[in-house]
Amino acid sequence: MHKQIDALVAKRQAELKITPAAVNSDAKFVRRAYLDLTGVIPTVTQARAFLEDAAADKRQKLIDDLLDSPDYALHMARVFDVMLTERRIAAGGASRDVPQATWRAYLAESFAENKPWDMIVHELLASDGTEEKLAGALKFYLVRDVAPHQLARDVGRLFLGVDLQCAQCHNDPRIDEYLQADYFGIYAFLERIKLHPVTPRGAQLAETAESKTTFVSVFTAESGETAPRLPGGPMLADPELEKGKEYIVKPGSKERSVPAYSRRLKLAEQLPRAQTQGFSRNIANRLWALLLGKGLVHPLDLHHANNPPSHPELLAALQHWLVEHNYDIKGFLREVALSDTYQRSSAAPTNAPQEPPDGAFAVAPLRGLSPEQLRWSLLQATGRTELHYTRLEAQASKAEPMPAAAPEPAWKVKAARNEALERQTASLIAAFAGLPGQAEAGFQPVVDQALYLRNSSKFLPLLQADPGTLLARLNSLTDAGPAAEELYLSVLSRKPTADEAAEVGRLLKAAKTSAERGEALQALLWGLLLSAEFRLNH
Amino acid sequence: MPARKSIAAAAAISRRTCLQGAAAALGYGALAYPLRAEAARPLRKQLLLLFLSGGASQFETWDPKPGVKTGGPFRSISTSLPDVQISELLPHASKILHRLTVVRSVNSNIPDHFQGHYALQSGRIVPGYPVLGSAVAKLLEHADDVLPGYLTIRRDGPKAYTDVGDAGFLGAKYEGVRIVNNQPPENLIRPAAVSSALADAVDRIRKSADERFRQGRDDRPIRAYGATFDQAAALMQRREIFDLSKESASDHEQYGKHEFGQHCLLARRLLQAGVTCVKVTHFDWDAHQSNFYWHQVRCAEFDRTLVALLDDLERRGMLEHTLVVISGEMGRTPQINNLGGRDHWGRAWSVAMAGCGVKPGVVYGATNELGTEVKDKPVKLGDLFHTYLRAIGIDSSAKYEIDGQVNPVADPAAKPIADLLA
Amino acid sequence: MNIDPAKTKQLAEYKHEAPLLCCTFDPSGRFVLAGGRDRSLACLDVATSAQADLEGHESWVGNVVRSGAELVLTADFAGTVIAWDCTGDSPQQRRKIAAHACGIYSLAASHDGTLFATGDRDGAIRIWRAGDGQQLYELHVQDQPVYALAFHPDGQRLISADRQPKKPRLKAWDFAKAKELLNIDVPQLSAYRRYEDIEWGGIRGVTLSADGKTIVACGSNEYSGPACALLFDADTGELKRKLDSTLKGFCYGARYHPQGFLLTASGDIGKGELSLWDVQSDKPLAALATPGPSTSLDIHPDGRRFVVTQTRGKGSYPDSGTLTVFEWEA
Repeated sequence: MHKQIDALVAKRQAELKITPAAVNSDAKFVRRAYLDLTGVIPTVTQARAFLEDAAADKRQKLIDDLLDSPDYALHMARVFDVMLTERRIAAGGASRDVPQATWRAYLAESFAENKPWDMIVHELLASDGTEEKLAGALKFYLVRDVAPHQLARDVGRLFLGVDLQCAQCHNDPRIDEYLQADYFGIYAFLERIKLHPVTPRGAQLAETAESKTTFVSVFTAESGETAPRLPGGPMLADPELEKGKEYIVKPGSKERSVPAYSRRLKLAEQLPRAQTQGFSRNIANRLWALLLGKGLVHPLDLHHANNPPSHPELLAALQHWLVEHNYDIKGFLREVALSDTYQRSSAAPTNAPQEPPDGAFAVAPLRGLSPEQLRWSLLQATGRTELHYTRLEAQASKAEPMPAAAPEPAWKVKAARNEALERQTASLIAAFAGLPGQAEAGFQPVVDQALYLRNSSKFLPLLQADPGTLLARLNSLTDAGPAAEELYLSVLSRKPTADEAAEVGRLLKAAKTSAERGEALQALLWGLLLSAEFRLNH
Repeated sequence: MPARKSIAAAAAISRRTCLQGAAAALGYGALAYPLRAEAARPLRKQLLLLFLSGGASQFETWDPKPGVKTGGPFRSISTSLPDVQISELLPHASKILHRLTVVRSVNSNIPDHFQGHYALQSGRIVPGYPVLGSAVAKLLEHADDVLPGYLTIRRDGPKAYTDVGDAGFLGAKYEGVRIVNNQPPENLIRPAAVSSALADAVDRIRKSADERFRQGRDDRPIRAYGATFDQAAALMQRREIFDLSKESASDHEQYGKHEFGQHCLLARRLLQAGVTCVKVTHFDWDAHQSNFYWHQVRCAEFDRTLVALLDDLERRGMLEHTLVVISGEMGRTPQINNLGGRDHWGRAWSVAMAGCGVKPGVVYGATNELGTEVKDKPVKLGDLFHTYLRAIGIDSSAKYEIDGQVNPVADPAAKPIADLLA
Repeated sequence: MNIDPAKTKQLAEYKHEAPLLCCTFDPSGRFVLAGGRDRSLACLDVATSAQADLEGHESWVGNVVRSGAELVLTADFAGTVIAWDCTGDSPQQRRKIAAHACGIYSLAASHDGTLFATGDRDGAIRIWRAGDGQQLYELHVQDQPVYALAFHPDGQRLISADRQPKKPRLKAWDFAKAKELLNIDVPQLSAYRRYEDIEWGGIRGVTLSADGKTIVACGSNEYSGPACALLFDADTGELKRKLDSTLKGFCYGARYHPQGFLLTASGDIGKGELSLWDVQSDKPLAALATPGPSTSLDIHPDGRRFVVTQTRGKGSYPDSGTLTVFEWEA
C-alpha cells in the first residue's frame, strides 16, 4: 500500500503544481522513525549503527525492528492513553478510577499483541470493571466520571471523528449535518449507565433499564426523542421484555444493577464495525496523523461537509486497507512508514518558489515532541536511561537468581525498568502537558516550558556529569572532534557539520581548566537540548 | 525592547521631577512607567475583565426591583446619575455611576456556567473560538512584545470550577497565563548553581543551533519556540511585576486585603507593566441558597474594591486606554427558590463597563417590572463582544487568517452597540 | 384540660401574597403575626378571621417573637426591629429600633419578657431591654450569621446557633458576663458545598424545653439526609436524640407544648411536614403532611391551638404563603 500512498499524494501534488521535498537523509530518518515508532530518539550506538549500515534495505529493516520492539507497545500505550483520556482526571479521585499503571498495561499489552482496533474499541466500550483482564479498559468511562454527555461527545470525537458537542444544545448553524439527533442518538446508548463504586475491587458500571432520551433545541424550542442510534444508522429499539424481567440484577441492592438488555453493550457491539459511518475513517486518519503530523481530515475530530479530507481517495484507500486487514494497526503504520511520503525531508526543495501549502504532504512538517517523547528523549540524550539500566542490571546480577517462572513479556519488563525514570521526570510532563480534557493540538510552545528548561530544580539534575552519562563521556574525550561527534550523535542523532564541530572546538579551546571545560561541555549539551532541532520531530 | 522602555521611563521621570514625590506617595515604584509621558508611541489599549464567577444577580446589583415579588429584601439607592437607582448593596459604585456604562438588557439565554462563560468570553455559542483575553492579546500584539499578552488571576482549587475557555485556534501563545493565588509563574529565578556565564553560553549555543536549523525550513515553529525563551528571559528580568510587596500600604488598604482586592491590585500592576489583557475572577456568586446573604457578602467585597480600582486606574491615567468589563456568565432567576436562592438565568441580566472607549454614565436597555424579560434594547453576548473590541480600537468585523483558515474575529451575526461607544 | 397531641384539626387557612417564613401568637393569643419575603407583615385576628397587612418594615421580615405581656417583636433584613403593641384592636407600632447595620437573622425574647436578643449576618448578637429598646450587651460569633437564638428559662443563659462551614455550632452564653459557657459542634446539620466553600445548611431553629434541660437544634442532615431536629443536653452538650422527619430538606422550627411533647415544622421542595414527638422516643407520635414546605410554627399560649406558615408555589419557586391554624382535640 505504501506505493499507493505515494501515488495518490503525488497525484494531488501534481494538481497543485508542487514539487515535494527530497527523501530525507539517513540521520533524519533514523531520528524520526525512532520517535514515531518507539517514542524516543535512538541511543548514540543505535544511531551510529544505522548510519554505518550499508545495506540497501536498512530503512525497511529498521521499521520492522522498531515495530517489533517492546518500546513500540509502550509508546503506543502512551499515545493512546493521551488520545483516549486527554489527560483527564476522574473527579471522584483514585477510588473512582483505575490506576494509571493498570490502564497503561492494558494498552501496552493490546499493542504488543497488535490487537485489532475494532476489538480495542469494543473492549473499551464493553468493559464494566468486573473482568480482571479488562480492568484497565474501564478508564475510558471513569476519567469521564461516567457522565453520559461527556461520553457521548467523546465517543463521537475519538471513535467516529465527529464532534457533536455543539449539537448538544442546538443544530449547529454552520455545520448542518451535525444534527442534534446524532448526538442524542449516541447519548441514548449511554444515558442509563452510572458508576457503582462500592466494590472492593474498584469501580464498576451499573446500568438501568429505563430512559427516554428527549432533547430541546435552544434555538427553535423544538423537541425530539430518539432511541439509540449511530450517526447515519437506524434507531435501535430496545427489545420488548416481559414485565418484571427487565433486570438480571435490580437496582436498589448493594450489587450493581444489570439490565437484561444493555444499551451500552449494544453500542460496544455496533460501533466498532466497518459499516459504522466514520469508524474506519477515524482510525485511518488518526494513525496517518500520528506519522505525518496532520490528518487527512484536520482537526482529527471535525469531519464534516465544510471540512472535507485533503485527499479523499487516499483516505478511502487507507480506510479500505484497514478493513481488509482486520484493523491491523502495526501493519498500517508499517505501510505508511515505508512510503516516500513519510520519509520526506522537512527542508523544502531549494528550487521551490514558495512554501508548499499545509496538507499537501510535500515537505515533512515540524512537529513538537509530545511531553512523553520529550521526557524519554531527554533521558536518552543525556545518557540517563542507559545509566539507569546499567545500575538495574548491576543490582539484578548481585541478587539471587529468580526461580524460573513463565517469562514476562518484553514490554512488561521494560515498563518495570522505566518506572523510576518516569517518577524522576514527572514534573516535566506536568510542565509540558496541556490542560486536562483538551485534545493535543499542534506545536504550541509556552513560556512556562522555557522557564522550566532554564531554571527548574527538577530539570537541572539531568545535566549533571554523573559517571556513565553523556557529559561524563564527553569529559573523558580529550579531542574536540570526537567530543563534537559524540555530542551531536547523542542529542541530535546526526554528526556535526564542519561549522558545528568548529563551534565545539572553539568553546573547548577557550576553556583553560578542566572545570571550565566541563562547564563548556555542559553549556553545549544544554544549549542543544534547548534547540528547536531537539524539541521538534522533523 | 524592555531596555528602550526603561530608558524612556527614566527620561520621562526626570522631566517630571516635581511629580516624583507625589508619584512615590501614590505607590509608583521602580516599575511604573509614566504612560502619559510616552507620547511618541500611541498608548496600548488594554482590557481588564472582572469576572463574577457563578453569575451575579442583576437584582442585587445593577437592576434592582425593590418591593416587587421578584425583588428580594434589599432596597435601591440613588446614584450619581439622576433618576437611576441601583441596589443598596453597591453603595460605593452608586457614587460613581456617572463613570460607568451599564447594560441592563442582556439576553444570553444560556442558564449554564460553562456555556455561559464561554459565550461571554467568545461572543459565540459554537465552540472553538478564542476567548476575549486571547483575542485581544492577539489583536493588540506588538511585534516586540515580550510579556505574555493575557494573564488570568484566580484563586486555587475546585472553586475554579467554571474556568473555561482558551485561545482556540490562536494557539497556546495566546492562552491566558494562569496566576493562581497571586503566585507568579514558577521557575522565574535562575538557580544559584547556574552561573550567568553558563546561562549566557547556553543561550548563545541554542540560538546558533536554531539559526542553522531554520535554513530551508518553515521557520514558524522554530521562531515560536525561540520566542518562549525570549519571553522567559523577559519575565525573569521583570519578575517584580508579580511582587505586590512593591505596592504601597495605602494601595493594599484601598484595594482590600482580601483575595479579590489583592488580585485586583496585581491586575493593575500587570496592566501597568504592559500586559494587554488581564482577567480577574471573583468567586462565589452562584447563590442557589441564601442568595441574599451571599450577595451582601460578595457585593460588599466587590463594590469597594471595584471603586478603589477604578479610582486608581483613573488617577494613574490608565483608564483612558483600559476598558474594564464587569460581568458574570449569566444572571440569576427572578424567582426566589425554596432555599432563598436564585438560580441560573440568562434571559434578562446586566453587565457593566468603564474606561476606554465606552460612554460613561449610560444605562442602556431595560427589563420589565418584575425583571423577568428584557423590555427595551435587547443585547446579546455577541453584541457585547463586538462592543468590547470596538471600545479598545479593534475592528470587530476583521477576520483572523491563521494557517489558511479564515475566521471572523467576532460573530458576524452580532454587532457593536453604537450607543455604548464613546 | 389536657389535649391529645395526635388529634389535630385544621381550623382555617389564610393566604398571604408572599411566602411566609416566621409566625407568632401575640401574648394574649388574639393575633397571629407572620413575616416572610415581603415588607408587609401578615396579621390575623384568630377570633374574627380578620386579616390585615402591617406596614413599617423596609425589607423582608425574617423573625417574629412575642415578648412579655403586650408586645410582638419583628425583625427585618435591613437591621430594624419593630415592637408592636398588641393590646388594642389591632397591633400598633410602639417602637422602631435600628438594631443592626446588616440583616437580622435571628430574634428571641426572654421568658420574663424583660429582654430580647437579635443576631445578625456578621455574627453580632445584641441583647436589648424590651421596656425601652436600649442595648445592654453584645456578643460575637466569628464572622458567621447567627441563624437562631433562644433564651434559657434560667434567665442567665442565651443559646446561639450559627452556620460555620462544615460544623455549625450551638453556643451557650452567660450573656451578662459576655462569657461563652459551652460550645457544641453540630456537624450533622452541615450541608457544605466544597466547590464554592459554602455552608448552606446550618442550624435553622433553636428552642429549649421548659425545664431548660434540653436544647433542640433544627436543620438539614447534610441535606441528602432527612430534615431533622437534634436534642442536646443543655448543660453538657451531649447529643441525646435525633428526630428524623420523613422528608428530605430542612426542619425549620420546633416548639415544646406545655404538656412536654415537641412539635416540629419541616419543608422540602413543594411539600412539608408537621411532626409530634414525645421526645422519649425517636419515632413521632404523629405526622401531618402539609401541601407546602412548613417554615415555622407557634403554639398558642393556651396550648390548644398552633399556627404554621408555609410557602406555596410551583416547584422550587414559592411565590405566596399561607398561615394555617390548627387545633388539638382533648
